[in-house]
Amino acid sequence: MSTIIVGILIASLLIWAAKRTQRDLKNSKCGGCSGCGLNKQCHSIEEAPVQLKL
Amino acid sequence: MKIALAGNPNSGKTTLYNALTGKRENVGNWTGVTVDKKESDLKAQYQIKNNSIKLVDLPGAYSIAPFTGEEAITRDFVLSASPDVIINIVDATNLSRSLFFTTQLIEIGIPVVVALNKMDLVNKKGDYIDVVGLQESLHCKIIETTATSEKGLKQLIEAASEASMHSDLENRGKSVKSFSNDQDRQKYINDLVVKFIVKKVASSQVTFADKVDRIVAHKYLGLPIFFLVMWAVYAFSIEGLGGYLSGYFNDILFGETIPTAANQLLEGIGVHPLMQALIVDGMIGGVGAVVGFLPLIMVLFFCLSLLEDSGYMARVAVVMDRYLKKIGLSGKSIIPMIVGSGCAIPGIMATRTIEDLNEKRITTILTPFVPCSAKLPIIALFSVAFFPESSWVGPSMYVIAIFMIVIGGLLLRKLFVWENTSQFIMELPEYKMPSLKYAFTQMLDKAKAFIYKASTIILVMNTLVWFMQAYGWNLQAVDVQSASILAGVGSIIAPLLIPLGFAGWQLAAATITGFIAKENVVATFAVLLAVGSTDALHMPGGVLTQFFTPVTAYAFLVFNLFTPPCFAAIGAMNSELGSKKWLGRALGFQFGVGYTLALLVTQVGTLLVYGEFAQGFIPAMIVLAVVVGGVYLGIRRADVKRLELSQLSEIGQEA
Repeated sequence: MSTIIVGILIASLLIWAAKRTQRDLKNSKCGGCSGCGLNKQCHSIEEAPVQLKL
Repeated sequence: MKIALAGNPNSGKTTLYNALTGKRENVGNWTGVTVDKKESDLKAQYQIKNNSIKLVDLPGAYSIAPFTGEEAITRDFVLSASPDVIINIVDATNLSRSLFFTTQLIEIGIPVVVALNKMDLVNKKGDYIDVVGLQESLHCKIIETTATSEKGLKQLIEAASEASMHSDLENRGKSVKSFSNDQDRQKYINDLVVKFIVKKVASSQVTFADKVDRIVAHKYLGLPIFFLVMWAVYAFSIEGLGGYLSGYFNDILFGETIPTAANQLLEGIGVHPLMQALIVDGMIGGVGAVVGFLPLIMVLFFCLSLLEDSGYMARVAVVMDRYLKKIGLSGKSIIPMIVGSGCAIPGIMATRTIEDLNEKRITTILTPFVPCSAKLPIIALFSVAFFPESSWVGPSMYVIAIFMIVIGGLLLRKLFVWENTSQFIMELPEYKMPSLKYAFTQMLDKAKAFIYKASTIILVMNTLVWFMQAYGWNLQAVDVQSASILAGVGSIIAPLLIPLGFAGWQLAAATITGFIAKENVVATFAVLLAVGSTDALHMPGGVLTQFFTPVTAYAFLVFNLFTPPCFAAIGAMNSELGSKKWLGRALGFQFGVGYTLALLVTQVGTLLVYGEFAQGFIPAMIVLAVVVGGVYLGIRRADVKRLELSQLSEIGQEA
């Protein structure tokens, strides 16, 4: 019984970590590098080109 | 309402942005720290009733006519996104340079409020600025600010809000002075500076900062002083306070206290031994091995932040310019490399400040050679395990990095066909007493990021590594690691490492996981070796000595430091290099450098230190011959191409 409860807790933790990792990799985020810290977006996400109106 | 923060590089835009929004974007006492625009809401204390204000921090620009990639971001945003008001941050200690951009911004017609920043430094110098007079001449509101102590920020936002409400483009356009060319504009600004600024110390007079610069930026003394400073920082961080605290974390906290407590708890509640092994050996052991180095990294970044904030690092760029020029780069390339010592990704992103495309590409390829914070746990682990009495191992990695940047730059110049290069002009920031608060904030930021990484990607990878070393291909638990999935995968890669003197699938497995994130090398050893041995990983003469001699240990460090960086950094390289062809060249070059360097360290080092041939001597000689032949052919091919291009150019000139 205790193995199952601990197993569920560990599985939840791993799923959370895996989801975070997957999201970070998908957004080209470096997993909390010193440049990005815990910001939502990484420095390496390119800016959408802005059209010049002049 | 949308407010854009625009100004010259190193005028304090990001410091002001952080103060107004409560964010913690990277700031630095040198130019070109911000290379992208960032947007956020104002902090509650600065919000104005019934008016939700958004702030956009733009990269520094000297002129509205863009010269570099990040200047183009600023110009495009100002011209096309039409913010309601522009706060132009002006460095009050250098008005003649800053006002050039100010006059251009005013001409656009969007309301401008000038934040006369760094007023604390002006007051300290005893200078006087006639703000009222300047305000009348420029036809825009000027607010005196000191972003570091948040002085004048409330008034600044109020003035910006008021200016946005009284925006009258047509009438503004009439009252604003316009210029036919840049010379006229600069002359007008010089007149303003003479009229409205009274300097206590004439600019021709030698100041204390000038005297310090004569020593730290000296053409011969500058570099030895830089090495001495870096050695002191690393000795204090790795051997001193940081090392002491990390020793406690590794040996006591994650070595005994937490695993013992976890084992007792799990045994007490009757958890299955396999589950217990996963938690204690896999998760706590692996993540603990990485987190154990947290104090060391915190102390190191605290010291580096103090150095950077004092203005010293900008002098290093000037010192390095002399040497980098010889390989076709400029001192501007040193800034991405210094930023890269924290993390390769922002370092690679910082190459955007380099105007010359060739220089930018070479810098992008060479920046990951600088040991980043993710590589520090590997350096620290191998230093402690194999060189416990020596303080030179950590700094030596930086010396090799500088050496390889120079050699690598020369090789890249020869291997590929490049165009012309640009001149390096860098404005030196004022020296200032480094802020302990700034260094502390930077340190905490790095620590948070490090813990986040350990609790996500490192945790997932460790669990996977533990699973792969505990189970076979039939998904049944194995009695011996050599029958596991990981051993199978590692064995495929292991033959490639024989010329480097690295024997064992465990080393191949650590190398593979290291490409996901470099800290994984340490974590993988912790998981793999803790299962097979009771000897501690972090102790001198510990379990790692079964796999390495001190020479091959040093070669393994070199291999991990100079082969391509982690996946995320490769992604950033892809963005900056702009083509898959150049990314392929860059990765091939980095892998070639790391592999050849490790091979040379092992083979030459073993011969010199032990007087015998290292393991894999014959394959190593074959690989070396192939590398030398490949480089020779590459250079010849590039020479032929260069010759063809110069002949074409001559024909074109004659025509």
